[in-house]
Amino acid sequence: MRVRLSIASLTLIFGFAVVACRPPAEGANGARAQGNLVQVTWEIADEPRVGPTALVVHVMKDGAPVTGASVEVTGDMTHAGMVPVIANAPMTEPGMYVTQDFAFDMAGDWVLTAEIHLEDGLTVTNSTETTVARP
Amino acid sequence: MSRFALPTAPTTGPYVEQPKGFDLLSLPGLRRFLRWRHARLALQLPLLILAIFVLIDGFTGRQLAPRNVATTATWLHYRGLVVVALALLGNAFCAACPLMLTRGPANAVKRLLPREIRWPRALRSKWLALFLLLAVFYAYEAFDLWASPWLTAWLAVAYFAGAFAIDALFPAGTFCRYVCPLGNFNFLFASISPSQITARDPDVCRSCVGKPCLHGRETTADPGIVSSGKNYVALATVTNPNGTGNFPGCESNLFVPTMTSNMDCTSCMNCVRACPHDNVALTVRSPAWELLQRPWQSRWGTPLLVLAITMLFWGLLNAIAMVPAYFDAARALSSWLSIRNEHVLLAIMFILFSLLGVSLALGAAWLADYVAQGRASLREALHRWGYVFVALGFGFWAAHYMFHFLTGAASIYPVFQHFFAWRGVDIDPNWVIARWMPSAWMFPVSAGISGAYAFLASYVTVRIALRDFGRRAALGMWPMLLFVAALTAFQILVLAQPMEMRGTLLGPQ
Repeated sequence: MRVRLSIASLTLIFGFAVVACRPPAEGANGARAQGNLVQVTWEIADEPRVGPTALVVHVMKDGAPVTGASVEVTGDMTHAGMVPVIANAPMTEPGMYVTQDFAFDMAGDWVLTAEIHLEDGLTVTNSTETTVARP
Repeated sequence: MSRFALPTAPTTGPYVEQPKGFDLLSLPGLRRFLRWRHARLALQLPLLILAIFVLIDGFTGRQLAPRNVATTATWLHYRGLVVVALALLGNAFCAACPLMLTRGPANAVKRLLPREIRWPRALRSKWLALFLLLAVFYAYEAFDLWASPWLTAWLAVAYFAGAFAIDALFPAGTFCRYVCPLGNFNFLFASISPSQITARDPDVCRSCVGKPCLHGRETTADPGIVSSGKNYVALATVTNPNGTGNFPGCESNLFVPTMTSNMDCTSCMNCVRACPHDNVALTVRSPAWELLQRPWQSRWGTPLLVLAITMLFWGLLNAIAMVPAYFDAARALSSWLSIRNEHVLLAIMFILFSLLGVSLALGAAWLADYVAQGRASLREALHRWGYVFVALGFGFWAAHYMFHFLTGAASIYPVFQHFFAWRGVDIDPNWVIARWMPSAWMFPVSAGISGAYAFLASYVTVRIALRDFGRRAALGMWPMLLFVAALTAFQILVLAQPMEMRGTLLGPQ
């Protein structure tokens, strides 16, 4: 049993090795878009620092600002175990969603992810990276 | 070196001094479980399953460290639980090591080879382990392994492939003793663990024919059906047979009644299963016990003691690499040397820090000997005081790893939720649960761990001085006590710094 289990494990491991010549493309840039007609752009301070920050997410569809979407922004640090910062981003003007109560709690590399639920049921996820400086 | 020479001295009683505490195997059910033929497999299976999750998510999951099983399980939970196990029990993770499940296929390959290759004599020391540990720590910083699920999964593959290849070509146990960086980290710091394999009655070992705990045994009722013909022990002669069949012995060449150290003991419990007299104990001992025995004088010696020092300072560097002062120092060094290549810069910082650390530690040890004896040699000082650095080093690794573990221990739950959500299962990961320990507790807890092992290091210092210097002990202990105090203060200062997690040395301030 032990030998069979070992052979199965090794097969699995080397199988993964064969398909793992490079990281998954969609994971590499942290983006996983489910709607290709929606354009998402980020507006972040040039040199973000630790502390409260307003993150702006611009959402367009077919070239027009999206209204009435529900946007949630999550900030993750790049080290395992770090608790994410999650904040809602209500619409402040058509197509523009601004986070409330979002604060970078540590200096370093951050991955920001916006999860956007459109009124028509479409869901879009978009990520960007930034480096946060000390306060 | 690795071949264990039996002591020639006493003909009755203990071969060597061993701890005499409570036998953990007398706990209800534990001895019975560990003597079970599949006990180790039962311990390995959970980690094998976890390793499979690491590979799947590392290679195919979202490449975001806090959301991926590969990085979370490896850099948070594995490391955190390793130090907890070492501090409270022993080398439990080598006991449950899934890498050893490559042994079956490795043996199959080995049978195809004309003969087993001997591990090169030049590599039969801990220098290779020291170099490989350095390589892993350097790679961790240089390639931001902590931030890359993909590279973490590749590291796991490298470990499995290394274990398979080394054990297929060379004698069993070669990978664990000479190569495995994880194993050698565990071996080194298991010397402060509160338990050790011992003989219940050394005279039983003395009269034991064939020493099955060391060489293994094959026991059958009928000698005519013996498969290997090696180390046959007739069922009729066995006090406590533990069933029939093949029972492998110790792959690290450790003979139970002569063990004074956990070094190289993988806690596989082969000795417990192979002993035909059920004469093996897992004895509770003081965390300082082994450090006061000079156990490595006859086995490994200088490289292991140098490893103890370098591990102390690499542990410190591993933590410093997350505080702002480190990035400032890197920027200053870059400017001073006009070097922008971060890998070169990191290599220089590793070299400088290692040299500085070894110099400071050896300097303190040499000074202690000189003050106490009026003369000193670096080698003698290292062999006397090297054990102090083990306690100090473990304290800092444990403080650092526990800081991360406690920060995000509960995150494993939403990370597994995310694993399935990423693959289409309708689950909403509950990230709020990850913040289970107030961040205000982190510093007191980690500083407390560091302080506790500084106390242990101080105790070991005093006991060594009293053992070796008699009336001049009060003089000889001070340089080492000051070193312990200064380094602990520095450690706590580092722990008190705000963390900064960056994948670049020369980023923004």
